[in-house]
Amino acid sequence: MLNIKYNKNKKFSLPASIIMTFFIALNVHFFVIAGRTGLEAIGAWILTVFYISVYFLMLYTGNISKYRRIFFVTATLIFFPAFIAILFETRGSMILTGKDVFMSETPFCHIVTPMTIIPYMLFKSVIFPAQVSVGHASIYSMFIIWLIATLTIGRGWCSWICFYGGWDEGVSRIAKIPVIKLDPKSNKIRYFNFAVLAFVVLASLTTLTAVYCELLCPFKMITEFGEITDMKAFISTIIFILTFFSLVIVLPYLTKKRFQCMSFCPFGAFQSLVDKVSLYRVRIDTEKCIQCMKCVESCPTMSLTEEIIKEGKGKSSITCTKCGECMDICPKGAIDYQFAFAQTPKNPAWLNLAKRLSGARGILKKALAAMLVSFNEIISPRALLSFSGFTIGMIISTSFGLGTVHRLLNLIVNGSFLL
Amino acid sequence: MFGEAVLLGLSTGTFCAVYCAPVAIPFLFSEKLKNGKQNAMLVILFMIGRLIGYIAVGITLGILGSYAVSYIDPEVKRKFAAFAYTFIGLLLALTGLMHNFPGWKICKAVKKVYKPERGAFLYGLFTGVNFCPPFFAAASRVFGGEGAFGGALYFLLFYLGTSVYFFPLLGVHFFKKYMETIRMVSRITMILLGLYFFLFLGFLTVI
Repeated sequence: MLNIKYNKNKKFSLPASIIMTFFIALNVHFFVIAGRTGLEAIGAWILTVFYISVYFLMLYTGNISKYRRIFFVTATLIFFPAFIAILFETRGSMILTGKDVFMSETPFCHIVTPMTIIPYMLFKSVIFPAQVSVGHASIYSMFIIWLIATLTIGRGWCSWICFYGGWDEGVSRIAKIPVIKLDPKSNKIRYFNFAVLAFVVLASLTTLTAVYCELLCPFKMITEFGEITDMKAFISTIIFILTFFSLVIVLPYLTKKRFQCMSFCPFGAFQSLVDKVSLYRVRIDTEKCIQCMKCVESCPTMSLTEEIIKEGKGKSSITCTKCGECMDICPKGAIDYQFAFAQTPKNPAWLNLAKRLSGARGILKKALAAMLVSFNEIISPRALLSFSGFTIGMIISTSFGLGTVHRLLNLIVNGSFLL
Repeated sequence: MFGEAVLLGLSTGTFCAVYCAPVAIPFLFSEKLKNGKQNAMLVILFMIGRLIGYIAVGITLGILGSYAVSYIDPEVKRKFAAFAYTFIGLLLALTGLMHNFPGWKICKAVKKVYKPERGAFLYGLFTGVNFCPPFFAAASRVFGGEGAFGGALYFLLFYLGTSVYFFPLLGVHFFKKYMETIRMVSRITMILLGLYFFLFLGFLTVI
């Protein structure tokens, strides 16, 4: 008898895993391999093998979170070396000068989005010094990617796409047990980033500047930072250093939580607010749930609380990043992705047909039953969310990720990391 | 000319709202509003404070006439804005701290003198005398020697034009469903904005 009960063990069948991986391979071919030559092409193939293997294993083993994390953290780790190298190749340093700002040569990062939307709507001007449509990090390209990601995976951005989030996630997994155990009941800290969001939006409106980038962004430490020309720049540099080491390194390590994403990132808060329009939710089957609270302990953003589980709310809070940790750890398989428009998982008609066919005699009938089961897996929220998240995450980090692999090969062959 | 004042206010009022929003929004959301009446009362007090600020500037500029050109000298303007932001920042930060850490000594002291109505009036007053672009446009129009009365009247009408954009503030009490969370977030936002205004738009711009 085929296992056709809805998401019982969350592993995908081999045919479904191969079919989904084939579609990912098409995307990888288009975004990673196409048009590359020489050392860059070799780098592209290395990256391709990595992407395809990770995605296949994600589905075939059913460990969404584990393989998502490998993809996500690797994408982050290979993003920054190329980013920094390009700064040195084009500017000679990581310092952002007044001339660069004047020439609008600053890459438009997604965190800027919430700061720019309201000033743009009111005054028809973008308050960030970036190119509107030229280059790989233009305002249009980032906005389109953000829109597609928001409509599909919503706040899943923070666990599948964000090239900063991999820092928190990676560091938070280093220690085996948390040195500081945060009380799941006092999870109000996750609302602090809503305050940061309100602050940056309102302060940016007042000054018509990207206040978060000028003053708070922890990742200035590993991207580009302004020259220290006055007291304001000096103070903001201290803030960059402090926030990076405390929120991205020390606290994630000590607490095993994604501290920066959970409590500070305004974009994360913004994605939580717009998540309502996204296609997928994380739902808890309250009938299967035995209230063991393993999901509460494992949630890296404290989005699942004892209150949610005990009251049988059946869904995570709005700060959920759809990372899949709770799904992987749940002993009863009670947590899974769901379509936003579907309230309860139901066995569709083709699955009932597959059940009947699998019990019948004849190889053709059994094959048809297997095809129907695979089809059901392919159109499941779990498959489609991971496909969307993986594809968009790959698109957004490939340019710099490939740049790093290319430069590493160049270092081996020609002895220089810089091109 | 006075019809022009209303039109100037109407056409540039979004700027005024944008300059006042960072103060008015967190303040109103941080207070435990009992009903729409209290919401309206705080907005009215905020607007009265703002009106007094406008008229005070109007009278001053009207009397000074062409002498007031120095008032819009960029350096004076910068210092004046810094002064306003220093006070707004302090007020926001202290109120935010008072809400979040009521046990602190300084917060206990603030709580003794703080009342939402007083806060609303002071926030209005300091945002009223702050130099936002439309305010600047209105001020330059009064330099023609309108006299104290003319200046005050011009600013009053200009103020009425801009006030249309503040009506949405009357709807704060409708956010009942998530009010507790919004209030908590607003109170932290107040501290962040207060520190930012005080340090980066106030103190550091004049030293």
